[in-house]
Amino acid sequence: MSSDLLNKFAALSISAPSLTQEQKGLQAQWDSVSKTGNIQASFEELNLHLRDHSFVLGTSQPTVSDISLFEHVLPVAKELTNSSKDVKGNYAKYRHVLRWSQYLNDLLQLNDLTFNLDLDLPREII
Amino acid sequence: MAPSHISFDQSKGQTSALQLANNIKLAYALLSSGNLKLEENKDVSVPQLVIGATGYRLFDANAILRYTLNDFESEESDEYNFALSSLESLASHKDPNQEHVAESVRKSLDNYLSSVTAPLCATKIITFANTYALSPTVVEEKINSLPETLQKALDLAKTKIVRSSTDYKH
Repeated sequence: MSSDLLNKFAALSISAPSLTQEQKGLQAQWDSVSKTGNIQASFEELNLHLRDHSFVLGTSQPTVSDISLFEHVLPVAKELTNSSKDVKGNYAKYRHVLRWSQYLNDLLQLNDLTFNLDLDLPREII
Repeated sequence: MAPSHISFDQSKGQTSALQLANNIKLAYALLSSGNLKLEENKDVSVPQLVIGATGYRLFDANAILRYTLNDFESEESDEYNFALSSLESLASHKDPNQEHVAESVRKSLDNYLSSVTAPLCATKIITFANTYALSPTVVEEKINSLPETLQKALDLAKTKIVRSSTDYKH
C-alpha cells in the first residue's frame, strides 16, 4: 500500500502499536470501508466512533488505518467545510470527523483543509 | 454474562446483492461463534455485532466475520483487495455494468475459488460470499459442493433477504 499520505505518515516514524482482538476488529472494519470506497454510507458511523475515540482503532496515536481512511474522508471534509450552505450545521453534525481530520491535516502538514475555529457551535446532545 | 447479539442486513436502501453477501458472512459468523455465544437480534435490520459484556460494536460484515473467527490474516493480500475493491463495490452498485460483473466473477472463480474446502479462512469466505452474491447461478455451476458450515450459512442467508426499492428499475 502506498500513497503520498501514507509515505508522509511513514516518514513521521510513529511506531505501530500492538493491537487487541477488539482493535483488530476495528482495523478490519475501517479498512473494509476504505477498500470498498463506501465512506459516504459510513460517515455518520465514523463521526459517532470518533466521538468516543481519538483515533479509529482506539489507540493513543494515529495508525496507518487512520491515514488510509483519511484519504477517503478528505474530499468529503473539504466539501463540508467549503460548502456555502449551512456550514455551521455541517460543523456541528460532523464535529468529531472534522476534529480528527484537522489533526491529521496538521500532522501531515497538508494545506488541504482550512477550518473555521471561530464558529459558535451548539452543545452536542448525546 | 450478558448475551452478545448479531443482526442480519435487511436494510431497504441496499442492493439485494450486497445484502446477500453481507448475510452469508453474518450467518457464517453466527454459526461459528464458539465462545462468543451469539444470539440473533431480530429487532435490528442492519449488519451489527454487539458484545454484551463490553458494549463493543462492529457494523461491517467483513469485520464481524473476522472478529468472530478471530482471523485477521491476509488482509493485505491480492485476493482480499480484489474481494472488497472489485467484487463488493460491484455488489453495492445499483446498476453495475454486467460485462464487468461477469468478468470479475470469472476472475474470482478462476483465481481464488478453484478450491472451496474446509477449513475455510475468513478471506476465502468473504471472496466466496461476494462472488456468489453477484452471480449465484454461475457460482453454483462451477462449485458443486460446499463445506457444511458454508452451505448452512448460505441457506440461512437466503432466508434473510428482503426486497428493496433498489431491486426495481424505473
